[in-house]
Amino acid sequence: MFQNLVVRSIVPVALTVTGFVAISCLILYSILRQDMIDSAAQNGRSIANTVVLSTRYAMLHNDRQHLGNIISNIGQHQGVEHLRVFNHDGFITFSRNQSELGHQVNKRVEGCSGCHGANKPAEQLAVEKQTRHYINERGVEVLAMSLPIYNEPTCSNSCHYHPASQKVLGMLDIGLDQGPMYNSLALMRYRMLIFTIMVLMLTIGGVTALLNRSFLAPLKRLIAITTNDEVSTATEQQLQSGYGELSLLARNYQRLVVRLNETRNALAKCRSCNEEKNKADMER
Amino acid sequence: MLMNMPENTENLQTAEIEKANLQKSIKRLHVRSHQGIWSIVIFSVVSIVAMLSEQIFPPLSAETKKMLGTPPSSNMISALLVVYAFSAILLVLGRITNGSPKLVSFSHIGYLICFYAFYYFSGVLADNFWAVLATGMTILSLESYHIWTYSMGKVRELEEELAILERRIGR
Repeated sequence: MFQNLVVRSIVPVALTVTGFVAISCLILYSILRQDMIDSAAQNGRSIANTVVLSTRYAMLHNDRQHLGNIISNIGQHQGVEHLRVFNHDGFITFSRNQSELGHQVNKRVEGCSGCHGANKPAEQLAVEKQTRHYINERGVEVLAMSLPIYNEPTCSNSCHYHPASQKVLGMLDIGLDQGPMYNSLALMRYRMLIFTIMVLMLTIGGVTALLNRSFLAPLKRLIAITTNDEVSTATEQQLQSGYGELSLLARNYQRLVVRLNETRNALAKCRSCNEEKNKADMER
Repeated sequence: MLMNMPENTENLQTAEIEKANLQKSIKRLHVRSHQGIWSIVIFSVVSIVAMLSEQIFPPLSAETKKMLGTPPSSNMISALLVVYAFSAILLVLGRITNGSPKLVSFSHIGYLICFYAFYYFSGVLADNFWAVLATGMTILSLESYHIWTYSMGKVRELEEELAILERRIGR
């Protein structure tokens, strides 16, 4: 099978095109995926900052009811998996989910261990460490952000009980559902797969058509012509209408066959002439 | 007549040596035609190890990470992978066009292992594993196809030579 001219011509082309398109699609997908995840994290941080800023006034005035309402309302927004505020000791003071209130968070879990890994908790956390990915108990992929709520002069100087030495007052933790983003990625993956298959089909089809038109069909005609010693009128007409190297080769071959046939005829004629002459000589 | 006998024996011996050499070359070419397949097998084994790297290898310690320095970004490694795939495919196609007998499959395995290693140290091997696998499979398949067709073509030529030689010896 691999000795066939068509197969030998198409296999390297198909391998090259499919392989390279697959590599490019896979790399492109990987880059787009990373960009989308980074963008989602950026959006998440922005939402978290908005929540912190919108609760600032209520926090300054220690308006717990107002603060609870803000957290509850934002938490009900579609795509928000959880929204909670911890105090300095890790107790949940405000949450969308009322059953969590008063629970203490384990400081060793992911999202907390970034600051609480050492004996003395870190006061500043790198942006990328504020973000974490996990699958929650409902099987939803969650992108969660923990944003520290820092002590400000306005906090310690006003009616608050926070001393100025306390740098971090608490944390805001928000979790966003990543399902829609992963659905978009899956859709993109299928589209890329279909695109690769289409490119492969078009490339193989195009190469086959071109090979057939400019090489294989003339080659078949050449083989058909060279198989017969006699050149019929139809074949002669076909030969005259062709163009390209293979047609030139066929015409040269036809000329050789014609010359050969002429020589054969001349020889036969000569032989019969000689025989007639010998016969006449004998009769004489 | 008697004078010709030693000359004939000498010719026969030369032809026998030539025949043995041809048979040896055919055998060598048969072995060579399978080298591409072997390179694909080796690369597949390496890829399985790379796929299971998170389970097989222990996580890098902070000291090792510090010693290795900042890893290149995954986008940079991917760009390099595309350039490598493009140039390697072009070189194989060039060898197919020129009918070059050069075999470079095993060095490609080395380069591909480097890509796996770079992605592993950057912590993004899981996301980019399939891209490296597709690159390796494309380059090695093309290379092994070239080596196989080239070797089989040479084998046919040598078999024809062998047939002529056998006819001569038989006569």
